[in-house]
Amino acid sequence: MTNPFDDPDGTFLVLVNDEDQHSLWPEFAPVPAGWTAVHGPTGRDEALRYVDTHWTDLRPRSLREAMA
Amino acid sequence: MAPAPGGTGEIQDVLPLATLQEGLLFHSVKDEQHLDVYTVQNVFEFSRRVDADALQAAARTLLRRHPSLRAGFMHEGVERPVQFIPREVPVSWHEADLSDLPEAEARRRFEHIRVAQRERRFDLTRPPLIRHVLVRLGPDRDALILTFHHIVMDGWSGELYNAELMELYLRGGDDTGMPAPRPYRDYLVWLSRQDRARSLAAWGSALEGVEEGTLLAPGEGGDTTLMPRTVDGVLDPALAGRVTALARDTGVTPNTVFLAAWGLVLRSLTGRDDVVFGSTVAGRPPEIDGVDSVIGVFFNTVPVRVRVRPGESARALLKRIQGEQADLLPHHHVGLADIQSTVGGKRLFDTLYVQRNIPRDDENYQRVRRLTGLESVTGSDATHYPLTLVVQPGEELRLSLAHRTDAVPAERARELFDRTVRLLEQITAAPDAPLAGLGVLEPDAEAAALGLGRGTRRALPPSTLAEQFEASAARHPDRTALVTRDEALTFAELDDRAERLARLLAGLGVGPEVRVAIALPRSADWVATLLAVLKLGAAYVPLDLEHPAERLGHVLQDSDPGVTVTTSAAARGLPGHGGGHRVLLDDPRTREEPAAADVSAPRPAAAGRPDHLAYVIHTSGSTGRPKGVQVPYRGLVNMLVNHREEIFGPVVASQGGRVMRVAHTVSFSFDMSWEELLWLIDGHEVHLMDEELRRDSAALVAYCAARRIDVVNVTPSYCGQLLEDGLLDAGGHRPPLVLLGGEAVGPTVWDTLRDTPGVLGYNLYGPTEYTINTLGGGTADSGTPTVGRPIANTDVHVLDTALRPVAPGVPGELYVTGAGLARGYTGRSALTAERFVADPYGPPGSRMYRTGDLVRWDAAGRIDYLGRTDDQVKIRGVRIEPGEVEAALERHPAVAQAAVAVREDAPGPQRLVGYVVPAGPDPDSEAIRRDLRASLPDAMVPSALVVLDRLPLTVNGKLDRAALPAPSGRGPAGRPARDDTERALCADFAAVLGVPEVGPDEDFFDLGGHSLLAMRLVGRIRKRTGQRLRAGDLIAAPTAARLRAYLESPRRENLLATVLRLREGGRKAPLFCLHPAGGLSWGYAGLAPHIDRDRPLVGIQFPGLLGEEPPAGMDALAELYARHIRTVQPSGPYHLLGWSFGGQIAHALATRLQAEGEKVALLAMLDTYPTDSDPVRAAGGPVGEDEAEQEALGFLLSSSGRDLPARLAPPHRREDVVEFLRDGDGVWADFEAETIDRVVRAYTYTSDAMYRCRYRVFDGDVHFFTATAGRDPASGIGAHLWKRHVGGQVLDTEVDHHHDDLTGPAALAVIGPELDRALRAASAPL
Repeated sequence: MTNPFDDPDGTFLVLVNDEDQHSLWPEFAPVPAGWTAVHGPTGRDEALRYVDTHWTDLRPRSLREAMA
Repeated sequence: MAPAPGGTGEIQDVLPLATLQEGLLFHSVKDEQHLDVYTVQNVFEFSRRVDADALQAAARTLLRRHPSLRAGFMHEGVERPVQFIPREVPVSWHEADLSDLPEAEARRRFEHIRVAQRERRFDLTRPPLIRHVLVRLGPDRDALILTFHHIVMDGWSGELYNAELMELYLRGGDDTGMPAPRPYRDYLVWLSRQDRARSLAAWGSALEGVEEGTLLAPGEGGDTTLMPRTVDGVLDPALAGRVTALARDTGVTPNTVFLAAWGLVLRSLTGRDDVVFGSTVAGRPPEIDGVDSVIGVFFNTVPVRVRVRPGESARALLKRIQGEQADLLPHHHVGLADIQSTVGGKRLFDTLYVQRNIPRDDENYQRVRRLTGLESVTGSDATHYPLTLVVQPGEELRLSLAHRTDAVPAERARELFDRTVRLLEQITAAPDAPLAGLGVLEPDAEAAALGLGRGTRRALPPSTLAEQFEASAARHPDRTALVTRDEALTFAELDDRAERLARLLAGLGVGPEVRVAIALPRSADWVATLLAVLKLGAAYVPLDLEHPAERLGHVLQDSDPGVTVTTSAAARGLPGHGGGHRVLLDDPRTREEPAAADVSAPRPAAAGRPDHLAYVIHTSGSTGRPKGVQVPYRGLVNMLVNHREEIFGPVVASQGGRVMRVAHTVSFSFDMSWEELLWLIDGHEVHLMDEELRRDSAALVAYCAARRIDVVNVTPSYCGQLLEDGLLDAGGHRPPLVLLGGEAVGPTVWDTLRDTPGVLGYNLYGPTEYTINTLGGGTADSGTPTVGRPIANTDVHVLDTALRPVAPGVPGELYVTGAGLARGYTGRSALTAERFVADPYGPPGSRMYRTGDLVRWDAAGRIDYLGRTDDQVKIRGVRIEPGEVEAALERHPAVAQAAVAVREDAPGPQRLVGYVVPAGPDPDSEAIRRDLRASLPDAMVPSALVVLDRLPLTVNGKLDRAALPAPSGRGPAGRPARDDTERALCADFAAVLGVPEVGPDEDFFDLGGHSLLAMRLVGRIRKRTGQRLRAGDLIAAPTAARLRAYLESPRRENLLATVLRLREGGRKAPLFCLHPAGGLSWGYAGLAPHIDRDRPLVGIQFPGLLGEEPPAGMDALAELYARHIRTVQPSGPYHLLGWSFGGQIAHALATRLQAEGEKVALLAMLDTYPTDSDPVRAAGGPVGEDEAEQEALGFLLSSSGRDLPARLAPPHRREDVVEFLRDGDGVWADFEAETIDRVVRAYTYTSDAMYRCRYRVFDGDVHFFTATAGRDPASGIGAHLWKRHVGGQVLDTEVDHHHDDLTGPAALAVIGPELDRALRAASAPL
């Protein structure tokens, strides 16, 4: 059983929530509430590259702002 | 021609069997007792009187026209089964007249006949395999029961038979003018000309990579002989029309649409995207002219594979299926058994799809009905499959679902029937949408499945974990909080230590989001440091000191701590740089500052938030480096809330509300180590086991018994070991709670915990990525191992690959979310984004962690763990990504390519095996393994390396894991075993390691042995030989040969061992010499010259010398010693000697052995007196600590056998004694201060135990020796005091020496010969 997130041939979106947390997301599934697609549809590697470049602080946004 | 075996006349032809006939023959002859499901029945009902003669003539003509109907079958005495065709066979014809009976009675009798016909087996060697029974039911109502064996006719042929029977009936049996049918023989000839190999190859390629069969009733044979029941219905004509339209628009047959729908139903039942089911095919090759009118067996059942990709549309799926099926069309004649054997012989499916495509000439049928009065023909045929979907095209499209009720109950079948229809509706409504959007389950079933995963909501307190601990400390300051080998701290003391450390760390800038690496041995300081970090709202990073420096370097680099707390000794194992400011706890400067701090002044409150990190724990990473899981505080607080409610409350209540004693055995590198700490925070007493003790199962069990431990938290595999070592053995203490975690629980451990009264087992599941626990379940709730239900404020989803919930019972992947969700992986945002993903079923914007664990809901709404969806493995509870090990192997210069697999080739432990393609010639795999140890923790180093020329690949170019060879191809290295003793040890090694053979010089640890296995091995050797061994002994002697030498060497004995062989050899029963108060029995060695050479001398020493916790009280100690003695001499008569305390325990032991029915031939006591006598009581009671120490030191000095310098006169100073002893010869060279502590403790223990002694009467004489020097005759103390406790005589010998000198050479010169005489007399024949 290949998990849809692990499918090397799958088509993916990159989703972001209000806390700036990023999620890989298979294109075939509806985007869950509270998330916005910011990248894709694209291949898996490309989607993950996008995440690596754009998500550099894993702290949730609310925490980051509280600590600033 | 020869007569037919059935005696039915001349044989016209002998033919091979068609492949399907072979299968039918096999099924029918393998079980001749039960119903033969291939007995098929058709019932014709007529509304007028039938002309019986004409009908019988018609049947006779049919037999004549179709040789295949006359066939009989033989399989015995022939190389391959054959069918023989007699030139003639009589028609089987019977008539029954029920027309005189009332109608209901007639019906009942008719049914009886019909069933009897159906149940009567055909003898396949006696054709014809067709029976006719004509039943007269009434004046104008007749019925014909036609019963035949499927081996002569398939369903299509049955239709031909029925039609021809009616046609010939109308003709009175005369076939003149009817076209001659083509014989079945022609098909058999055609079949023999097919290219079998090519067809098998086509099937092999179509089924490539099918990992396992799609089975709804796995484990059963497909031969159950229950008659199936059926759910059926007519498809709504509008839907039927849409199916046809979709097929037409897509360029596929309607049949393909049904195949796809059925594939999707099976996917929903199995949780697999790659399903296989059987499909019956007509099997009539179009290249044979007139094949449609041949009566015979053509039908075949072939596998249909449907692979579902959730992102694909229904239309794309249909096209793919159609293409795949078209490619297989020319290969439909190959038998299923042959197809299965091309894919490894496994059963591929147990469900069937049937499209009824039997030609029926409707116009002719109507004509026949009109002329004959035929009302109906009803057929019954059975399949042995649990579930069969039948599609019957026609004016109305009829679907029926035949189900074997043992596997699929009626309501379930109805549900699946509806599901099939619903899928057809959805596919036809939106053929271009992704399949992931299909609502396979009913909407309320989907909601119910999601609801199962919803954990109880509980309010989280606003206070932090540190505050909760401080509150406990304030409530019970003097309660014991933490017990370690070296110290015991009250809550106030532990809190004080943590508070001082917190202030020190705060001064170094530690606060929220700052990481503090902890590189300490298991000690109270570890816990204090952790609490200090919690107090500051910072995050700790545990460093496992047993990991190689390279790996610790990765962890430090990755987590970038501001401070590393360590000791100067531990720091030596750390990499040279990284880790920020180093705090050495044993540095005097470090000690001063916290000690001086004024902890009464308030410390600025930490700006703690529940989403600040509490810890970062590293786990194996598939890319070759460990990954740091960042865990915030919220989940820890949630755990405390959950555990108070679910575990602490009920267990504490069951124990009357007292404080629990909790054994901490888990490495701090695992989040599982938090289970015990939560008890601590809640005010309970935690015993921190040191590295040695936590790994030595026997010692741990002894500790739990001695300290009456209430809670043990271990991995299930370690639990199994503890159970074997007697953790729950009745009689002693039994912990009321055993927590399990870290890996799947086997049934043995589960059942044992569940079935032991007064014990609760509680399994806690949770990946590191979800704070400590996600699910929990107790043995009281489930008869089989379960990981239970979600803990508080936790939701779990079991989803399929379309991210839709699966129904209960169906495997899916576990996704978890809630208060315990980790933040992510340090410095790995991409990895975080692919594992912590958007949750479609949670609050907006929430995330869930996909665990990679394959699970299912059981009937009671609990989670069953089934395995992994990926390669991740667990060895002894340690999570391992094979990718990380592979990467480490491939970094090695001698390795070009590598793969890693977990194997369990023999029943036994799982082993990690590495496969390497070397970079050059002659690779040294042992050297590679040694090098791996420098970068990987032990559990991740493969226990065997197999060198391959190349890695096996599948046709798709992926690693073919199934083709990786077992590592045991190599025989045992080196020479064969020398003799039986060595051979037996080799066999012990092999059995425990799970390999076929082990050579006598092969290293246990090199073969994959580890501490758990070492314990199993010593346990096994102990059981087999009675030789007492400790797991640690294997480190000194890791090969069978060396272990043998070690076991046999007279000097092998650990001088502190409980059983100490003072003199080996001799055929007589040994003299057991019991230790005096100091615990050592070396003093008796001086007896050797005086005692018969043929009698071994065995010392029994105090187990506390080894650090083992001694049992409480004389009785328990005597019981323990009796067990030890029996390992040397299994049964009496026994010979016992004891000096001082040794005399007391010898007396207790002697009476115990007698109570056990043993003979005690000799009991000798040196100058010791019953403590329940007044004179002894008057002389003093148990000694105090200081006195015990002085006595112990004096005893040690006198035991050294050396002249004492004047400076060592009493009172003794401990340091002086240690120094003096260590200066001595080899025996004392590695003497440790700790041993002195143990000797001192032995004094305290023995003097205490002795004064609580309750004596039983020894049945026999006692040989007594009174020390007369320095003795006060007025004290009233003397040998006579024993008379109360001795049934025989007390034979006293006076020795003119001081009590303390009785084992000196001068005293023994008197005692020895006397003892020897007594021994000889005791052994003399009466």
